Amino acid sequence: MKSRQPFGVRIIGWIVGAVFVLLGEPSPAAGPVLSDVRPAGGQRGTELTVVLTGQRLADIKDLFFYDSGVQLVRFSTNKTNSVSADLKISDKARLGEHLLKARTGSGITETRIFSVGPFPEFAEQEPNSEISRAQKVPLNSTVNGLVGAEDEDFYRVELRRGDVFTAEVEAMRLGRTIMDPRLTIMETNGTVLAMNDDNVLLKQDSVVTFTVPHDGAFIVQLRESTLSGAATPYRLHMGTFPRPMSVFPPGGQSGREVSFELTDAVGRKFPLSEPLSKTGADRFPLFAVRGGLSAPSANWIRVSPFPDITGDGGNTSRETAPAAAEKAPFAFNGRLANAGDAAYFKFFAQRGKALEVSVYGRRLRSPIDPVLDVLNMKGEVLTSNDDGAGVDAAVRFVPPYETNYFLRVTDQLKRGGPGFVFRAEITPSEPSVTLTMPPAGRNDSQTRQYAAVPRGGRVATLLAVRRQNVDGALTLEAANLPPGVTMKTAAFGPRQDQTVAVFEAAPDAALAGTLADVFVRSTNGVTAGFRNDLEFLYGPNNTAYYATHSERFPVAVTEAAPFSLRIVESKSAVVQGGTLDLRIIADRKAAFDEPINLKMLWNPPGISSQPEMTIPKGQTSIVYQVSANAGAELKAWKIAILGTATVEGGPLHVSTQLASLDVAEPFLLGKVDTVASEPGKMVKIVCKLEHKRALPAGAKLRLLGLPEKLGAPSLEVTKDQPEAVFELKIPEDLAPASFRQLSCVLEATVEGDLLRQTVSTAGTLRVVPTKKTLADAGPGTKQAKTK
Amino acid sequence: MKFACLHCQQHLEADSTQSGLQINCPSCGQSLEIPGAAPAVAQAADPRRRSRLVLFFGIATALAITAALAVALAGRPAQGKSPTALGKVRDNIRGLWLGWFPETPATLSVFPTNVALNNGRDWQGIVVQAGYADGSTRDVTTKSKLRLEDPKLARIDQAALFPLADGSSTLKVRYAGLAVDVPVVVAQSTNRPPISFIIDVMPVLSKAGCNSGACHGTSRGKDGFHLSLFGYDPDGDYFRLTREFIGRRINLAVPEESLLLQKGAGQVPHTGGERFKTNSALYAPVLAWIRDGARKDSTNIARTIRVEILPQQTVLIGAGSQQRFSVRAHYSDGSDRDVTSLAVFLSNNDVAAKISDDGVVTAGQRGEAYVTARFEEFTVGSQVVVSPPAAGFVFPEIASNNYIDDLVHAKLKKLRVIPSEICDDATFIRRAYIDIIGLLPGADEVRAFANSKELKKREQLVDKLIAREEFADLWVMKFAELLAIRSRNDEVSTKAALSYFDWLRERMLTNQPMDRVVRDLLTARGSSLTDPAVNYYQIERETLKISENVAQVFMGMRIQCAQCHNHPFDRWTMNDYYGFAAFFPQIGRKQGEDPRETIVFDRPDGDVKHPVGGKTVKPKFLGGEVPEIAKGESRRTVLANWLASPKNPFFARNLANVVWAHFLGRGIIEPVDDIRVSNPAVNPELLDTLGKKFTDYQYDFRKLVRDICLSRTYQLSTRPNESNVHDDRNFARAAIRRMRAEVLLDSINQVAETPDKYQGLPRGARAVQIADGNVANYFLTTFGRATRTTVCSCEVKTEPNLSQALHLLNGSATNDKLQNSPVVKRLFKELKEPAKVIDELYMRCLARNATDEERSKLMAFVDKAKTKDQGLQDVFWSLLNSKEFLFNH
Repeated sequence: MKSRQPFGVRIIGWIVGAVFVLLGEPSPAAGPVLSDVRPAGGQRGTELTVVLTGQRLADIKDLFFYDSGVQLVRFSTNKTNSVSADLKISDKARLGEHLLKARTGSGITETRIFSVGPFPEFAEQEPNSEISRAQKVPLNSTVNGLVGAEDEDFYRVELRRGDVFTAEVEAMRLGRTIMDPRLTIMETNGTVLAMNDDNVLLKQDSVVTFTVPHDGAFIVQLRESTLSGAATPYRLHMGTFPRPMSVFPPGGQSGREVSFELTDAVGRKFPLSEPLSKTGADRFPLFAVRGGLSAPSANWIRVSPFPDITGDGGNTSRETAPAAAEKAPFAFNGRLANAGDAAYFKFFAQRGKALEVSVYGRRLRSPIDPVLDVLNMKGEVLTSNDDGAGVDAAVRFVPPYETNYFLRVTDQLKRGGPGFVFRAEITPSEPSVTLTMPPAGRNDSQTRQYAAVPRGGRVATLLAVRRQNVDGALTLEAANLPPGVTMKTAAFGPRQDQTVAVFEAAPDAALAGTLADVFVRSTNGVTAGFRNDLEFLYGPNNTAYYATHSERFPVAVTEAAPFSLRIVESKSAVVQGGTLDLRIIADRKAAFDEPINLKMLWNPPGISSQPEMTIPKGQTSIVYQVSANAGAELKAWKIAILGTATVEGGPLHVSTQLASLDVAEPFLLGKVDTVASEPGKMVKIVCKLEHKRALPAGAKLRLLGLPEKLGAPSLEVTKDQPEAVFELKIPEDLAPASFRQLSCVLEATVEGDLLRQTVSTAGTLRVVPTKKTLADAGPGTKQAKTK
Repeated sequence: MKFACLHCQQHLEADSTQSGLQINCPSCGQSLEIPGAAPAVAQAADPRRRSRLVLFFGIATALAITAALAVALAGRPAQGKSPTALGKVRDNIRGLWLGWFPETPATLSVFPTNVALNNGRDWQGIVVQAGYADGSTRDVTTKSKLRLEDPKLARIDQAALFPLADGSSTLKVRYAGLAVDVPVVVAQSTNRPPISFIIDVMPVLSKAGCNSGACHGTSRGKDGFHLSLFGYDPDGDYFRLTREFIGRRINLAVPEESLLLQKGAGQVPHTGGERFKTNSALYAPVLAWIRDGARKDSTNIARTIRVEILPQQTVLIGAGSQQRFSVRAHYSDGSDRDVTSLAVFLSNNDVAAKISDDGVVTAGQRGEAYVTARFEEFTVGSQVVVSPPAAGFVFPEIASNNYIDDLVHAKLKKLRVIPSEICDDATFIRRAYIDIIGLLPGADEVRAFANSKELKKREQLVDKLIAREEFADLWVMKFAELLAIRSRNDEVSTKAALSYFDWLRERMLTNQPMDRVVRDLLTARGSSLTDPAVNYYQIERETLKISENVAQVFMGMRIQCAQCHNHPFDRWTMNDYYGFAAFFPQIGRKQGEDPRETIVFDRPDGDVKHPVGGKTVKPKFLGGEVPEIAKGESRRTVLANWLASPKNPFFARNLANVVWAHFLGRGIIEPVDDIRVSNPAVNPELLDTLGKKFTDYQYDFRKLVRDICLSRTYQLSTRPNESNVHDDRNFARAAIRRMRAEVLLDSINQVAETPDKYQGLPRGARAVQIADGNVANYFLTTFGRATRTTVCSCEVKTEPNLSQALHLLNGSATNDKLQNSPVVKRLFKELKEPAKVIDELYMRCLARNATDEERSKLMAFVDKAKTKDQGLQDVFWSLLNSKEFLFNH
């Protein structure tokens, strides 16, 4: 999204920027941090002020909203750790989650979630931790509150007999700190009427729907399920709004208008007819509406470009299985109406043409834990799957014959019911690619998931592809970058799944940011966009409680960095089995002498390097050694090294240019035979040589792996020389031993770069004890006595 | 005709015409034979005795009328608490009668009830036991006359029958005018079958102790020779004897020089010394087997299917009196054998009754013992009661409140023990509060209860307490301990542990029948967060341990031993163990959507292999049958339907015992989760009845608690009398019990009005409500709360230690709490007089007023204190440190 500041503000920004340029560069700051946004959401069609808290936010420039509907009006106060922003939420804004990032003069923050709701909003009023002090709230409203450790919040609502009342809380979905909510509806005397902790539709978030038994006041209690929590925000919707828990059919064909039936927890139906236009993503939201009231959050369906068949509970055997009219792709909509049910569908498939069979159940928030079986006409199971796609089932099926088959879907726990819906899609195996950005760390999906490019500087990022049936090269492209920013990258080679991209900003590029489009294109025409998985709130085993994703790549031009980095590109290549010393230069600006941590973002296949190195405080260069293994592919790769320094208390990232790194054939191959000698004697260690290509001038061979007393002798090596002979004298005082790690290494300096290549390994020198003769035996030996 | 099942001791009834029929026990399902009419017991009916009676009644007619009246009265349940005048007269007459004719037995029993000699090598010993009117028994085997009607069939030598010729006859047994006929069948008397390794030699290795844990049965053997522990692997033992050192352990050329015999007879140096003589019954079969070529048994030889020990109940009077036992093994081919000489005998109480290697019990001090005989993998037991000689002992007329008292008194009569008197009202209300709801009664409640003239006030109190939520809380805690509810790493998150606890609490609060709760646990499937019962399979995930825990918690059986060898002191074999474990290998687990969630489900496959032989073991109920399980049917469901049902005799009895132990301080079987042949119920009839009642109550244990609390037995004083001072096993007086850690802490907080704060619970929650066993609390740990790391009932400790004493003296539990307690200040303000405050504090803490002596001493102390407040505070501190406060009495 482009900056939404009014033109006047931007003019002022430019003037201020120009003043800085004239007076000298502004004080550079490191990347900002956005920890929280409060309130965590707002009603659509309203304006509100939110407080953004975090670090280094004083020079905030803009907010990135990934979707339309929420706009920044202005920043009212700017402090380092707190910024007030006035937002306008359009009355057409999509309900639910909106992703948000802040951009400052020095960088981009992590993504936070801002939730748009349909109801008037109120703030929690403490104290409300006892029933007697329950906060009164009107129906069909939303409370923005906080839950602390062992905190319980009570709300009081007035209801009439026969009302269907619902309380739904957003807590884990806001992705702040872990607060797994539990909702309880009580009489005012504390008698519990209904309770919910977790449910499949909202995962850890809670929803309770109940039919009001009498006129009067009722209490809604909200607490963390284990009574923990740390001033964690929540949004609690309470009222008589529709809150369906299931939708059937759970999908449809794009381009058609499909009638859906949504059903709530007390069995009320909410019919909905929806023209389906979008396709291709995981799932699409449906919002039930009745009497002008909308459900506060979505029910989910899947939209696909191919036709579907529906079997609604009657297809519990092969005999009653509905059949797909056409060959794949197609979808089956089904439901396990009763406990223990199986749903059968019949389809025709051609021999040997692989099909992807995928059941969408839990991915559409159905309670089903599907197990799929593909059966032949005799009912024999040909393939099965339980958890091929998370809780959902997915498997590749290669039909052994051209005939009819059955798909059978059951629940792993043999449950069933009206809400146990699923959509099974059978599609031919087709090539596909997804472009992603690997996480920078464990339990961290946010660090450096953007490009904050210093003016006149560079920053690199690692990109990856997930391929399915696409082996060839993939080119990487970017569009909608901020003015003055370019992306330099190398294509993904065949079977290559990672690469680096370097973003460069012109020295005069304006401080601006966009949500850019980055995508890959294959030689056979497959294009794939970018998908950034965003995970919040990690639980055990590096697993997130809540995850969402975005498809845009945030790029911003930031203030110039106090240093830049470059690789002195070598004319020589790293040879297979050899090493190459890369020189990294840090161009420091005056007064900046902090240490700079270097990290090779990506090692091409067969190449290894130190994971991290540091240019020490005040120094300007370092040697970063890379090695190629003997089987490394002979290829020209592109690499970049990311540098991170602490600036004003936070990390600032810049990178080197996108540099070439060639892998070449070795110059020599060799072999050192085992030799033995005694202390005090000479030994000849012979390295037999096989010349592979012309040697660099001044090349020398060194023998490594010898004991310290023998040192590391070196010899000149010349063209076509058949062997190198190292003549050594074993010192008298060297204790007998075997030295099994003798290696012969070629060293040469090519245009200033030190280049090494291992010629041979695993040679052995055995130093054996001196053989003693009778004459050596002095007085005191047995023989002497005999004499 | 009534008799007991030989396997499960279930009391059964059959028509005497059915004796000899093979039936399956309706309780345990095992096959048994209906014994002969009234176990070959003869009732006293000889003319001489009748003439004595006539003479007696002729001489003292008036006395006889009185006696008749007294006897008539004895048939009705006594109503009063003290013996009536008539009762006293009757007792006097009874004493007089016993004094006149002390040696006249009332019954005569002969064991076994039938004799079958199956081959020329067979023999059968006879034991004759006389029963007396006072319930005592005497071994009269040597004093009885034994005569075979057809003496050509068998010879009788030292009360044993040896075959001579085939045929049927009757053994006539006579003693003191009583006669018993025992049918005798002799078959194949000329056939002397070859010595069998399994049938004849293996029992010798057990009897001689060769394969015991201290000798060659240890896991690595001893001195280079390894035998399977207690003979669980005969094939392996045969291999090691005959193949490991060929010609050495077994010397076929010179059988007498086989190391097996030489070592056993001590002829060569042997670490274990001499185990048998060369002329003993142990030496001969082994020698004969080696002489026969040390052959391996064919696979179809008859195997032992059950073993019985007789007599089943013995009441010995006076130290030194003896009773011999007969052990008989029954084989799969229908034959039987006297294996008394091959059985290994043990007594669980040598002080009361010691048993010799050849099966003769000798009485010691007053008490009771359970003697067991082990033969092959079978262990069977018999109860021996030892009472002091007490001519003229009369059990007083004591009112029974309900069936519990009847059964307790019946046992006490045998022991010649008289129960204590009933405790006073104040003691009762305090005891009931602590036991039923884990709190102390308020001072006003104690006063009101003590002053109430309501006849049924104890009953009303019990009903009121049982209905309280705190009752459920206490039992949720106890079951949470048995289910080991605690969070654990990734397997059981805090949320899962809390959900599991809440699940249990909801069931207790809504009074769901325990069978349903247990069935829900055993068949649980689904998410560990939303179907909390599945955490039963998360807290323990290993198949074998799950089956051990199920046996221990729901059946009171510790079967762990049988994982590696047949249980030496119980009936469980490795087949039983792995058969039971075979219900659990099909439990599937997978990661759920929530990072803390595990989904538990039933897999279609999965089996348990027997470690000896590696064969797949079919699921078999513990002590029951092998059920038919359809393909796709959940094994756990099949097990649950059996386990938590009347078909499983152990379930109801075990839970009844757990409940009983809570209220009486000691189980009828103690420890409650160690039911085994060698640790039987001290009062089997009581346990059976409680189990039956529990079943009849549809497993509503509130009703059982009500029965127990309303029994006279529960309401007894802790003060002993002369007869019960040494008896702490038979519920003749109330046990003095230290309050368990949680209840003690709650009680301190209650009287001092200083609520605590526990992790994950709001302030003011009670310690018994702590859901997660991982919640740390120094006080609770010091006072021995369960760590909930195992299902063992032994986790809760109420033994004192120095840390406890110090903690109470100067730790935060009393000092800090009293500093913060508003109680003394408030009472002093309200009551003004220190003496009244002292009484109020006594009432709060001890449910009684201070005695005059206590009050005057304490007043003197308070008067000397710097301030009255401080003095009273110190009195409060002293009360909290008093034994009377810490203990439930």
